[in-house]
Amino acid sequence: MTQRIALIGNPNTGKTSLFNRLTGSFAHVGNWAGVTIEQKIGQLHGNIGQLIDLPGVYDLDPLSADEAIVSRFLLQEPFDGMFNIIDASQFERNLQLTLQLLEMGRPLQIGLNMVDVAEGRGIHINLERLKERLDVDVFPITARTGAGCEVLLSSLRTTPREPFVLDYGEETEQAIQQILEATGLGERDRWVAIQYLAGNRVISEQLESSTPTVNEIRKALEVKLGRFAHAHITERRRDWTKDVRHHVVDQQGAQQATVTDRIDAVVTHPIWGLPIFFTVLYALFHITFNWIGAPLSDLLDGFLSGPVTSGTSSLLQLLGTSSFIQALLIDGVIAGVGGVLVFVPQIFVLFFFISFLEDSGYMARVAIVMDRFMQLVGLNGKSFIPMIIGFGCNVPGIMAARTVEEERERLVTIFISPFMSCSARLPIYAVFAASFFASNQALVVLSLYMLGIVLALIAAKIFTSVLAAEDRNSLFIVEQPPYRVPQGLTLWRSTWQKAKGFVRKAGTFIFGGSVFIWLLAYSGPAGMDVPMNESFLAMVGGVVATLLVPLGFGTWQAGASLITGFLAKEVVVSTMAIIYAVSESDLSASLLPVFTPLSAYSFMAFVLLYVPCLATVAVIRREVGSAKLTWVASLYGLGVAYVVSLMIYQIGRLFGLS
Amino acid sequence: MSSLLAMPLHQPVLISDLTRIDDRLRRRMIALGFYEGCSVRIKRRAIFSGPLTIEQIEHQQMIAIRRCDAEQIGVIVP
Repeated sequence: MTQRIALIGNPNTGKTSLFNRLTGSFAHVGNWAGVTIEQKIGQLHGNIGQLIDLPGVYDLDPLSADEAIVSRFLLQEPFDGMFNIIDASQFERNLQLTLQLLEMGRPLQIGLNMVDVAEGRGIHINLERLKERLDVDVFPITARTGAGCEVLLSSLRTTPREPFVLDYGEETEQAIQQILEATGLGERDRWVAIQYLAGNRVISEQLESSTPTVNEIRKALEVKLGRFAHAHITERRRDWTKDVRHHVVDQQGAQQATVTDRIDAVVTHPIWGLPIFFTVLYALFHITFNWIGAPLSDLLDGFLSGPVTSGTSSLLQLLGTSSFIQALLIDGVIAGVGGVLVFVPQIFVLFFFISFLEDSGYMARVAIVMDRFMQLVGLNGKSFIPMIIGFGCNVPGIMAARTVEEERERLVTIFISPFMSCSARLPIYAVFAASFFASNQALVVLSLYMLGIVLALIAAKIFTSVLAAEDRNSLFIVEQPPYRVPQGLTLWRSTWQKAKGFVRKAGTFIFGGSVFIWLLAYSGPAGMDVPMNESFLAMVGGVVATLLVPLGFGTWQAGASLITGFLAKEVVVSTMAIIYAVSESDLSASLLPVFTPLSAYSFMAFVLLYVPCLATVAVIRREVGSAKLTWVASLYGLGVAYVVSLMIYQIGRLFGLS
Repeated sequence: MSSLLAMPLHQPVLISDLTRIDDRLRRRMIALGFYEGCSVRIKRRAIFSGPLTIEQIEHQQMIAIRRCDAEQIGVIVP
């Protein structure tokens, strides 16, 4: 039988690093509260079971959709044991959660992480005394380097233990017993009653619907205590954690200005914070496109359109295959898939920098820097982080919106996410920017990203005023973790984790799409191997093209590639490569006569905004849980795209641009 | 008793009243170690009335909250 072990801890404690160490799998690691956006399951080394990486929580009482995952998991899912990871440098805070886990009475082991950081701050923890106080095994580990992780794993224990009992005082203990009697729960489920009194939302929902009398028990207790039950319980827990700390922690040395303080003094500076943030973003794009990504892409393109194409071509001729097969492979598959594969280096570099910013702790500062602006449109600084992740890919961006506590803000964040220019749109910009704006590539691409952000903010403002029937206050509280230098292995793994989806798409969606489009272009009413402009593709594209004339790109080629772009945005480039029957490097030459710089910009803006790709629509459906809202979220962009491109093209012409 | 918002930068103060802020915010602050009676200080104020970064001095724990919320937090200067 496979054992299932749950990994639980506060945010920013190195949980996901430990997960990577213990499973050798490629789970993504983040350093701002809430990066673990889904349950990740990995095989433990030595095949002794599965490890489930849960989102970081401070408390079992959830405030966000993200945290509710943990409470639901503990209540409903089967598991055999728990690893609780504790950040030694934030011992007392972490212990609050540990106490709640101990009360559950499930098999539990503790990994005490960042002992080195704590010692650096003069905090020394006596392990023997801690084990004695908690009556569980405690292992010092360094998740970043992997030290101690194997010991933790090899001493994995799933034998039952007795629930830890903390005395909450006479009145409360009576109330706990009354709740257990009323609900028919046994003494082992004492923790459920405690969580109920502590105000845990998930548990309140369950208990109050099955046994309404629990509410009266709580109210009676509150009369006796003269205060809220949750306030009393929190205080008892705090007294306990203070007491434990007093017995096991030996703290020496005064505080000094840490590296984090010095970095924060610069990057969250009242005046320079914002310019620095935009400089960071600009540097990210400049390095991605101009310095690293573009040269690498050129190299790969030279290889694909040169040796690979000619090699395949001569091999096919040698084998004596039919001209149909030759055309399919060379003009369909290699042109289509290759046209997208050449952008893999740029996408890797972009994801690398996004991972770097997440792991370093800078993202939590971005939430502060941006909060004021996001408030203007009815969102909060936290919504900006899903938006930045959306630059990589809208799918994880939309899932990251779960960390936004307020439901209205979460929905609006999801709605505007497709305007964040994901990396799949890059190949399109790259082709057009290189063809029409060769000397200002980074600037033109950055302007598109900015256009997306500005329109997203305007859309947010509109959605907020529509959705905000009752004007509730928004909740904003963000932990500011210390900065950490991202670890190389972890960075590589998280970059790969995100970018591999793109490579996989090239092998599936784009491969299939390329073959299909090539077939549509190869066949027509007159039969097979027709001239391109008499093909089925030209007919379909032509219908769309008539609508696109006012936008400056009313050609059937543009119409056809935009339709196929719904599969995945990068297919727009493959389609064009197939239509013009050229490789990506020669695509420029084919586009120059058809587009002007103005219509090229209008086209890029249209691609940025028009519809989310298929995968994004699917994840929107899952996250908003309503078909109607999914339709709205998916289609309003089409109208926005049309209006914006129309304005760009028509106003541009008024000013004499072409 | 005065409001946390009115305190000068880096001035250590004791939190004395968390009852006027939103229930969820209060619980999250308590979970992060910002309870009534603990010692905190303002580390930074963001521009354009943006959030405050405050530190729980004993735990060296930092969080960011909005000014409108900080205004509702009562503190006493020890």
